[in-house]
Parts: sequence; structure tokens; C-alpha cells
Amino acid sequence: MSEIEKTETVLFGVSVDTIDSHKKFKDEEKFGFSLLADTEFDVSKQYSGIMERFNASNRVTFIIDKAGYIRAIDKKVNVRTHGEDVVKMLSNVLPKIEVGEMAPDFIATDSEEKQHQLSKFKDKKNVALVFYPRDFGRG
Amino acid sequence: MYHFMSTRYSCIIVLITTLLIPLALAENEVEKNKELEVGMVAPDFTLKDETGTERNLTEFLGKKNVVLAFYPKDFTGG
Repeated sequence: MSEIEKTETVLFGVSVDTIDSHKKFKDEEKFGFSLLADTEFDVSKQYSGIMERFNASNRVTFIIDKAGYIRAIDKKVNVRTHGEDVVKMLSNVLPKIEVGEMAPDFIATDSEEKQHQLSKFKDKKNVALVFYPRDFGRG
Repeated sequence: MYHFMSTRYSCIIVLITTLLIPLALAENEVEKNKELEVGMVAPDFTLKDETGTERNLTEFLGKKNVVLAFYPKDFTGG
């Protein structure tokens, strides 16, 4: 758990079970994370899909970054190693750039559909990249 | 008689069309609900946790990454 927290990540378990069931399950297993009760099946339908035979959510894990984008979907969850697997996925998927390192090159399209490549500015201009969550969001 | 028939036919056509429009719209609704993929914006939701507190994705926007681990049933090996 603490390994996951180190990456500034919160973990939630989600199933169609009730709040009461979740409370007992968490107490019994001493989970360090919260369990969400999707008793209406709405979120599971959208995210994991429903296993019709058992009328329950499929076992699928989603990694969502701070900007709200889905960065990884694990459909082959191994229950025994899932904690470590999630830590590995997080480190593969989330950016980790240190001060002093060469900035990874990229090409991105602006709102006028013009393409910009970072390396084109090399030896010419300094570049400030301002990341923010979403247009029309909280800035 | 001929005139009467054509009015009747156009009525039927109008009726069929009005019946089909909601059907077509409903199909679009289903398509909209297609599978989520890497790179898509994660749809927001509000769900209660085991303490009854409402949790949603927007509370973490710009602050934390979120891992959502969907699983079938409590007390069945996680």
C-alpha cells in the first residue's frame, strides 16, 4: 500500500456489494484502502462490465492519472500479485522526470491543428510547458 | 377512394417513421456507452465507501492518481 501512496495515488476497490458488506470485508482483511459500493451497477457497467453469470463486476483495474485520463487498464488481474503489479504499472505509466534530465521529446497538436515538436526549440528557445487538468475546468 | 388510400398510406409512413426515430436514437445511446480505452477521460461517478462517505473522481483531479480495482464479490479472495 505505502508503495502505491508514494506515487501520489489513491486506491479504491469497487464491487456491487453493499456498504455493510464492504465494512465487514475491509475490517476482516484490514485493507489500507477504501471499498466503493456500486450497488446500482452503473459504474461497473461503464468501467469493468458485468459478469452476467454471477451478476457482479468483472475483475478489471483502471489507472487514472491526475488529469483524469485513463493511463492503463489491467484485465488480467492476478489476485496474489496484484499489489506489486499495480505498483509496477504505475511506475511504467506515470511520468517521472527529474530536474537536470533531458526533457523527453514529443510532438503535439495545438488548437489550430499545428504540430509542435519540442526538439525543434533545442539551442533556440527555452520552453515552458504548463500542464493543467482540463479546459473550462478549475484552471 | 384512391385519395383516401394515399392519405392512409402517408399516415402509416409517418407513424412508422415516428416509431423508428426513438429506436435509432436508442441505438446511438448504446453505442455511446462503448468500452473505455487507454487515453480516454475517465468518466466521473459518485459512490459511497464503506463508511457511507460519497467519493468521486473530481475530488482527486490535479491532486492524485486514482486506481480503481473492480472485483466480483467481497469475501472471495479480493
